[in-house]
Amino acid sequence: MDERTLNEQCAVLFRQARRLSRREVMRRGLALGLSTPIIATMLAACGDDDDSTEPTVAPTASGSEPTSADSGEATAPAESSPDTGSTGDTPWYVDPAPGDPVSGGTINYLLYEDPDSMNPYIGQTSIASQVTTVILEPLAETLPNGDWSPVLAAEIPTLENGGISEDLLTVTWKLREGVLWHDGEPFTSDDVKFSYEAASDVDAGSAFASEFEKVASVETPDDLTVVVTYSEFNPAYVDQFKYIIPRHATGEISDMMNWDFNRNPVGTGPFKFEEWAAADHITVVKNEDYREEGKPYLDAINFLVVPSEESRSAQMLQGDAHVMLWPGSEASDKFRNSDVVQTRIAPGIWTVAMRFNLSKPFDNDAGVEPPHPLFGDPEFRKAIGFAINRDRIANEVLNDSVIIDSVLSVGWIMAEVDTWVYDPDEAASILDAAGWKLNGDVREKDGVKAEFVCNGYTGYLPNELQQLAIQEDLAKVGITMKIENQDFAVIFGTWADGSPRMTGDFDALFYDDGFFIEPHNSIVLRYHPDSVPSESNPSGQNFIRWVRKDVGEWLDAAGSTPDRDIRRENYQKVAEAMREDAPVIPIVQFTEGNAYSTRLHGFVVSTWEYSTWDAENWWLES
Amino acid sequence: MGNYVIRRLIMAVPLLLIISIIVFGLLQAAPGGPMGAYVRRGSFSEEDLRRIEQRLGLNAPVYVQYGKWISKVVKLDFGQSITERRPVTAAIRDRLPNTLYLMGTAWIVTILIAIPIGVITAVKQYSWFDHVVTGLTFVGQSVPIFWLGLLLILVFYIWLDNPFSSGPLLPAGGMYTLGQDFSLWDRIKHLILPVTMLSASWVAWYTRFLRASMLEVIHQDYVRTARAKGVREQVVIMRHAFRNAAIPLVTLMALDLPLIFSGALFTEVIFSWPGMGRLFFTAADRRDYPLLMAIIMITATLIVLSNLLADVVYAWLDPRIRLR
Repeated sequence: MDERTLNEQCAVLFRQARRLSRREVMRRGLALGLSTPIIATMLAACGDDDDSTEPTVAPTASGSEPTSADSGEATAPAESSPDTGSTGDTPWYVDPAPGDPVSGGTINYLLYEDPDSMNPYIGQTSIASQVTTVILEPLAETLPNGDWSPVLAAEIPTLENGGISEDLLTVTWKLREGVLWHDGEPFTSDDVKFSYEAASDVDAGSAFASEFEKVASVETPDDLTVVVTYSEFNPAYVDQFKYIIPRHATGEISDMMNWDFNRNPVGTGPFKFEEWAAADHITVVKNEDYREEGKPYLDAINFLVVPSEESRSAQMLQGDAHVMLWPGSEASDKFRNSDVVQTRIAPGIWTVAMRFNLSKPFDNDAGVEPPHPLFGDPEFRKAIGFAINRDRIANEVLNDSVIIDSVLSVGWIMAEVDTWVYDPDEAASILDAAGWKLNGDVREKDGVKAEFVCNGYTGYLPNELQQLAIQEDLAKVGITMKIENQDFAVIFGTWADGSPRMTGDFDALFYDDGFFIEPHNSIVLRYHPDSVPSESNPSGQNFIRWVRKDVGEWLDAAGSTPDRDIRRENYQKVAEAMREDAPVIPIVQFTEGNAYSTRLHGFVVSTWEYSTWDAENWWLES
Repeated sequence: MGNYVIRRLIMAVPLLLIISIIVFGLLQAAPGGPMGAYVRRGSFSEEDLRRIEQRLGLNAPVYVQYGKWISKVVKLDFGQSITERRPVTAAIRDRLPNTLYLMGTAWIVTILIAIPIGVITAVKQYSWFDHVVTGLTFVGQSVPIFWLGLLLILVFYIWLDNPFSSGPLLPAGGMYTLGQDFSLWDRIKHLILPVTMLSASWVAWYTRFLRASMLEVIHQDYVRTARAKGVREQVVIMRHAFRNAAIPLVTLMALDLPLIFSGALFTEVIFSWPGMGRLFFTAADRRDYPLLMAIIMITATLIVLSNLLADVVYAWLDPRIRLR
């Protein structure tokens, strides 16, 4: 086992440590050849408790997740970075600061394209979010371990503190006192109400209106209290208000697309907007009134737009720039032996998986029946699971990923199922037993050849390489997989577009998707038996047409309580059913990270928040 | 002449209209669309996507979209950019000065270098200077300019240090140093590498062109006559030969004018220059139809106008030609 493989195994273990018992972590760690002190550190970092899987802050329900649809198939990891060695002693990366923070200094943060807008509600790019995150603030943010921490709220509303009513439909937010907007105006509950009004206004151009559909009303009994009433329970209620925008410094909501605010934002965050030279730079400067004494440490951050990766990595290596967002694997290679730049990663949210169509394609019927000639047979699907050499993909084909056993082995759910071991002999014997006999190089059963088409999207090399590796693996067990990749817009098209995955006209799909911190809506959309896309349900995403009544019941149970333990139990059952039925074969999960100057300290790389989420803690060594 | 110009201008209108229809149709026919950028971002629900599509007017038939677009364009309203989230004109207004500044400088530098070299190599044909320049122009014409740009960064940013301060000799990109007061020297420092990259092939091209043109003229009868009259060689070259040899070069320069507007993608990407080339590239990448159409149509208009300008200048410089 070479060093990288070991590191990756450790990364997986670290990710899972919160869900495993102390004994189990110890056993697995020792099996990997880790020393006892390292495992102890890891356990400490992950909550050293045999029974409780929840470390720090109160386990609340909640969640984030911008929405339902396609929770971001394939975006960020495109640029994510390797350097698995830096996974450190926690599943996320915490900078080991060399001494006390010092104030002062300006850093250059390298972006690869110009942000589009500083108004999150009209649908900004994730590049723009890196900037707005230091200017605007949410009511609550996600800590790297998946727990919630109040930001503009005084506390997280829970059942215990009465913040959420017994019927789960009323959420009362207490706001932090004495917070000022960057222009000196006081922050009040009315701003939260205004943010809701803007975010839920479809006609004004809000891109997130559907996230607020369950909100019946937002009331402000006093300046520091917000009462949100829901028409039905929203498991993502803590993450409802991701950005608070000021009523006094914006404009009429109907004119939201044209607000000056969109290019000149006023927030409550640690940094104030100073200047935006289109496609060149955005400068933010220290907010002197920031609520935490002495913070932020930095005087200013220049977000520089540097489109050429060669130029970005050269500026990092020369010490002129301090953060480089998502360095590609080429840049990361250059940084590997540098004492000026370091790459730091955290587990990503993007999981690559092979998804089978359980229903017959091209029969002008988007429904579940009749079954697919190949994938209608669970034994056939399982054989593919054993035939794919995922070790080779994670360790030889890609360099920025870890093997994952279930698409639900993510975040705080971290479902645990039997791993798909690479075993071509087992695959062959399963196929033989199921009646798929070799006829020449390809298997056959009742005149049906074991041939299928795998659809992915074009232009993303890591996925294309994986497809080629899988094609080879399957050929070895007598299954022919043809690769037909299509344009992004086709593969992720809508029902109205007649996209093949909507109408059920495909054999297998190969792409990456992920869950945000609050995954419930996405899980329901993708795996609930009622989510099969059809004329009457065009936004369903159960493209694989995997219909199990018990899965529906477990998902309904998970969605009706804020208690994470109960929810996790139910998701675990779904994950086990998925392992048993094999409608989806998970391949790998991408890691994500940035490159940092070795002079920059105080940062934490988190799976859940944008890279600048803790910029108030960053400081520059002099 | 006046009639000719007016007639050409009137003829340009249907021409541009036809161009706009073809380009609009081609863009719509190309796979993908502006919604791809939203879908790729991943955080929007199906309903939200439909609403965005509706608001952008992308669900209407192509001819309706074109009709709406052209009826606004005649009022000089190019609409709202999808990627920039502001009026197309505002986006172009931010970028255009940067491009004019860079391309204009590169163009002037090119002319200042290319003209004397072109003349000298023609006059001193087959001298060592001519051989060296000819060799260099071939290099300049055939070197991939993005490679040259990266090489410049490697040498002047990474390898060479500024002898007076600890930093690199020249900056790797940008238009000026952030957080400093305006300084002419700082501006020039930021221009040196991108202008070098742009001018390298441009100078080579103009030099070759002028040399060939000069050689042709130098052997004309009227030049020989001038020499026979006993006119000084310098005057023969400058007044008799160069003025005539420059006519095709002026045409070439006039035809290059749209380039100064549209920018140079590679240079802008490598040297982080916020110009039109990158704006156009992003617009094309994201299928930002309003922004794409605006840039293409403005460029097309400039090409039509610069063609006219070339013809007019040609006629003006060469009395043998009459425009009717």
